[in-house]
Amino acid sequence: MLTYFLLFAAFLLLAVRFLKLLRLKRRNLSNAEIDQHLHALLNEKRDSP
Amino acid sequence: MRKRIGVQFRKTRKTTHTYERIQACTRCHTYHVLWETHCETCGRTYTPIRQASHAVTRRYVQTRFLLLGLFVCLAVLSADTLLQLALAGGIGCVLFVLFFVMQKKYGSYERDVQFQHFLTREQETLKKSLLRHLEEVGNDVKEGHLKEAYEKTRELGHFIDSDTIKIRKIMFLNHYVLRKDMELELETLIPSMYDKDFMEYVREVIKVQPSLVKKSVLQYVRRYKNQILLLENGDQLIGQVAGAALRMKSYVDEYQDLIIEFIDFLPRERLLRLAKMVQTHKDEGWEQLYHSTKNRVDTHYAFDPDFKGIL
Repeated sequence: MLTYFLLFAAFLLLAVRFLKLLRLKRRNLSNAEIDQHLHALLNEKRDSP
Repeated sequence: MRKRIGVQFRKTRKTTHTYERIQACTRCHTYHVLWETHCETCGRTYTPIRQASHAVTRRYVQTRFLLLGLFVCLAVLSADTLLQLALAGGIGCVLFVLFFVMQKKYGSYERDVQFQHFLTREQETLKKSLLRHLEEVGNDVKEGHLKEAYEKTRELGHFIDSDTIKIRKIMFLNHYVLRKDMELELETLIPSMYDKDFMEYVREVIKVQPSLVKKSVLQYVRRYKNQILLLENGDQLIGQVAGAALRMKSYVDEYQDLIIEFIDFLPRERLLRLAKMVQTHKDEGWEQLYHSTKNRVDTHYAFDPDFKGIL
């Protein structure tokens, strides 16, 4: 019984990973977007406390 | 007028994306955007930032794989019958294969997203590293090493979009004789406000690389025309810029008013080009420009053989 339970856990892990990768594929981040993000990070102005 | 000196600037690295310029020292956990290949502190070879991020992603994927392997191994070990053992082994193999196929097919998307997260996490360290480079520039200026200071500021300018950096670069560049073979910049130096030194730089750049005059520069000149006219030979300077705009028909279309207003300050060779252009396109809304050009040619170049028969 434990064997089946562990196999199911392994399968679940793979399924979750598959869904995560699928979500990332849909997002399809381009290099230009990453570059833009970097610029935004480095040039963002902090609000003074 | 300050005396300019001749100089040979270091060639800048050509990259498609800005992040390709960032190098990481994985031992000191610092970043570097200049030209050195080894860390000054520990001597270790720098790693491109993307590679450093991929290493983190790889570790994450490896832990997921190990977790999967752990479940499968435990399933095999806990099998009570031969059927359970065979099932655990068979299903385990299928799950491993699926994991590899998924990774091969979608791994690149994960790497990109993880890289973006990595940059967000490293934001403060990146900023600190850039700040350290800015301090180096300050030291170079104090020691009179203006060439190094410019080269470093030029590299930092790829990351920091601020007037301070732009104005500093302009000030450094105005110390040197500009040449055709130099990797000069113009669009990236346009400050958000009017800057006298920038216009002095434009004056010099146009002499050697007029092709650097693009739409944003023309826009700037049009916006701050009144202030530029207050400069010494300001009208000539705008004439030079208007002359550089004659490289492209679309610029002439958009900046006709500027060209007409400063047509008297166009150099002869530029006026000749304008005459040829207006002759070809006079029926495309360039009537006013045509008349202004014709008027200028008739009054100043009526006996010039090069202008004969053009208009």
